[in-house]
Parts: sequence; structure tokens; C-alpha cells
Amino acid sequence: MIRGLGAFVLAALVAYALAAVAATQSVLSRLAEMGIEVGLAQRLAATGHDLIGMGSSYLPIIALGLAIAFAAAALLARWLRAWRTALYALAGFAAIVAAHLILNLSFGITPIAAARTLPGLLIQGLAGAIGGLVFVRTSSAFRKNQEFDS
Amino acid sequence: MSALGTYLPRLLLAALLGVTAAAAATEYRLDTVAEDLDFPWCVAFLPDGSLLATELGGRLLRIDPDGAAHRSITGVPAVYRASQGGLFDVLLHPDFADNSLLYLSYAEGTPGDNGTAIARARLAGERLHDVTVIFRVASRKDTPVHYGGRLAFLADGTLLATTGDGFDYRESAQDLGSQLGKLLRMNDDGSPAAGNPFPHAPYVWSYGHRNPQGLAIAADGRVWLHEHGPRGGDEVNLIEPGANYGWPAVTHGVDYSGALVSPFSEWPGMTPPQYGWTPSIAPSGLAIYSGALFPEWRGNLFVGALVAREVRRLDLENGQVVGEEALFTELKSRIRDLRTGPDGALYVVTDGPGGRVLKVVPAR
Repeated sequence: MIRGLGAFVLAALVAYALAAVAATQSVLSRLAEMGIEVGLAQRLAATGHDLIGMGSSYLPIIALGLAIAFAAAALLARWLRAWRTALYALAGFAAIVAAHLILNLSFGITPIAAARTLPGLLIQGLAGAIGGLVFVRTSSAFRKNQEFDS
Repeated sequence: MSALGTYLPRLLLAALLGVTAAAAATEYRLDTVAEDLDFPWCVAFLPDGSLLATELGGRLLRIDPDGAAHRSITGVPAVYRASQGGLFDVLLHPDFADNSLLYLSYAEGTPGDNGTAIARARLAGERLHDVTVIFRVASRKDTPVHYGGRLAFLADGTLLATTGDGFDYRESAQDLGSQLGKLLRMNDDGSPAAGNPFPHAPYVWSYGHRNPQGLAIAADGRVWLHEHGPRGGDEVNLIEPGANYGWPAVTHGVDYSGALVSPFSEWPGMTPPQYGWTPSIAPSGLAIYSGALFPEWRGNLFVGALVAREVRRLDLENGQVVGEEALFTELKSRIRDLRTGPDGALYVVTDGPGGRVLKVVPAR
């Protein structure tokens, strides 16, 4: 149980970090289109700022979305064992895309600026998919270690 | 320069002056003119002493001078009421006494295709006649927020109108091809005014605005505008035709998510604010007090604060903010609008389903 939780926390952190980094680069690229060039040092500083800055808003949303989606994936994986990896990746993708759609429906706006465009939304979803893969890998590794220990 | 560097000298001066202001605090009384209004947004003063008040839901009310009764005016254009959208400003034509013309700004359209519009109409009793939509923001949007919607007449008879960036369209504020996030200037019939600074963007007077909900013309002709920042970065701007006020390329605020909107708070060619608030106070409504009841307030900016639930008085010297004082905190209400009345009182409009119009008069 604790090991599963550890795998989930790692998956959520990886998904969040990738999503936040992608969000920052999206915003900075829109600035560049306006003629506001951002140097490497500023880009790194902005990325670090957002990783911390979005931690109290976006990270809980991603964690909640992944928790629900991974629970659904776990249920489905009982019958579709061969598809376990794909199911978790799909669940991670769907969790983040759904979170953005729900936020948009609730407030009428897009709170995470990077998700305003379809490519931006899909990239955010991709971060969730990678989170799903991380969960499968780490939970499998935990399971193997458990087997060796016993 | 950092936000601290930009504002620190002024804030130090403001702190010093604040002590002086506190020592000689103006004694006032708040009288209720009208209450139980549904999200009132703006008031205007008719020559007969009665008031016009807009409600976000789309009603235009005529309130008796003593506030005893208010009646709905018919003929108001249909508004798009959603989230921040609805009926915004009402403004009398400078020659209203002769032509009975007034102007309404409002959100119109549908969830997927909406924007700010301006209608002109002739007021007769409790009815609007000859209602004509004289301007529609050409850049449409699918969000129900950030409409701007403030109106003011310049001394030359041209009309200024603020538009918001639509939130999801923030980059449009830097695009002269878009009418989002702009201060627009037009003739009183809605046609582009002569002398605007961009021939290829004939309505645009200034740009780089987020959601300006305060606009006022000073006696010296200066145009003051304030705008909501995101999380932090509320701005008070002194408008120069053709100037770029920076949003979203530069800002002192961050996004609601905590992410940066921009790493920059200044950029060559972009005009910095005269004053600002971080954290945000959510400014709405701007009056430059010009009455006789409070001589010590004449020429000061009064800014309503939705989130801070008070009014901020800004003391000006040579176009610079040199002092700030929080007022009417006892109302504990979101402040939507402020106006100087023809009687010399300062009128305060509180936001919400039980909104009120109050007037500030000397305590004795």
C-alpha cells in the first residue's frame, strides 16, 4: 500500500513537473512571438518559478485527476492485464485533459494559459500519460522488489 | 527595475503623507441613496437631480433625487449576462440637456461569440428611444469575462471606451489588429475619431491593457485609467495616445495559477504604471473628485476596490501619485463605482445582490 502510494506520488510529481515546464515554455514562446525575447537564464529562472509557483494550484489538480483516473485504470487492468501500461498512460492523459475541460466549463476561461490551444492541451495531457507510464514502471519495480524480499 | 524599486520611493512618500492624512482625517458621513440593487455597476446624474443606475443583469434604473423610488427604464438593449458580462456603464452626452442622448456599454452575443458593445439612445421619461448600437468590438471571444466597459467623454467631444483582453486572449492586448485590451476613441456616433495614433487601427488610442474598469478625465485634461492585474499587478495608468501599457508582455502580477505571465516588469517602449497594487485590490470605478464639499480632496483619484472592500484615495502632484489613503472601510463592501455628483458629494456604488448607492457628505 505504502509502496503503491510512493509510485503514485512519484507519478504525480513527474506529470506535474513536465506539465509545468511545458506550460512555462508555451507562455515564453507566446512572448517571443510578441518580440519579447527571453534569454536562457531568464527561461530557467521562469521555469523554476513556475515549478514552485504552480505547486499549490496545479499540482493538487493533477494529483486528484490522476488518483481518480488510476483507480479506473486499475479496475480495467484486472480484465485487460496485457493492456496495463497503455491503460495507465491513457488514464494519465485523460485525467489532465479532463481537468482542463472541467475547469473551462466551470469558469468559462482557461486557468492554465498553456492549455488554451489544442496542441497545448494535448501536450499537458502527454505529461499525464508519462505520469501513467512512471506509475506502471515504479509500481512494477516495487512489486518485483517485494517478490525478491519474500 | 523590480516592483519594489518602482514603487518603493512613492510608497515611502505615501507612508509619510499617510501619517499626515491620518492626523487630519476628513470627517464625512455616508448617506444611503438607493439600496437593494442587483449588482449595480454605474451611476450617472440627470439634470433634474435624479440618478441613473445600471445593474449588471441589464436593468437601467431612474432613481428619484431623494432615493425614495426607482423605476426601470424600458428600451435597454438585450445584454449577454454571464459571469462578468452584462450591462456596464451609462454616460450622458455632453450636450444631454439639449439632445437627451445617453450611452450604454454592455456585453452582447452568445457564449461562443460575445463582446463589448456601445449603444446610444434618447431618454424620454422612463423610456429609451432611437436605440442604436454605435459600436461593437470587432474581435469576438468565447469567454464571459474581461470586457472593460468604462466610458468617458473627452473635452473635444470624442468618446473613450475601455475593452478587456477576454482573459484567454491576453496576447491580443499587444495586437493592434485586435480591439481587445485597448482604450478606444471614437466620435459620438461611433465612427473612428480623427487624430487617433494608428492609421491601420483607427479606433485604438492606447493598448496593452488587461481589464480596465476605471476611466476618468482630470480637469487638466489628463486621462487616468486603472486596470485589474492578475494576482498582483493592478495598475493606475496615465494615458498618452499611442502608448503601449505592456500587458501581457510586462506585469508586476502572476497568473492565478501561480505561473509567470511574463518574467519582465518593464520593457523598452512600454509605459510603466504610475502606481500599482501587489497584492491586488481589484480596482473598479475611478473618480477624480471635483466637488466643493471636500476641498482637501479636489483633484484626488478615488479608486473602488472589489477585493479590498474599500476605497483608495490617491493624492496627486504634477501627475504623480504621492499619497494613498484607505477610506470607507466601514462599508465592508466590494466597491464597484465612484462618481463626483453635481451636488459636490462623492457617490459610491457597492457591488453585489444587495448593492447600494451611497453619497459621501461632510459629517456636519
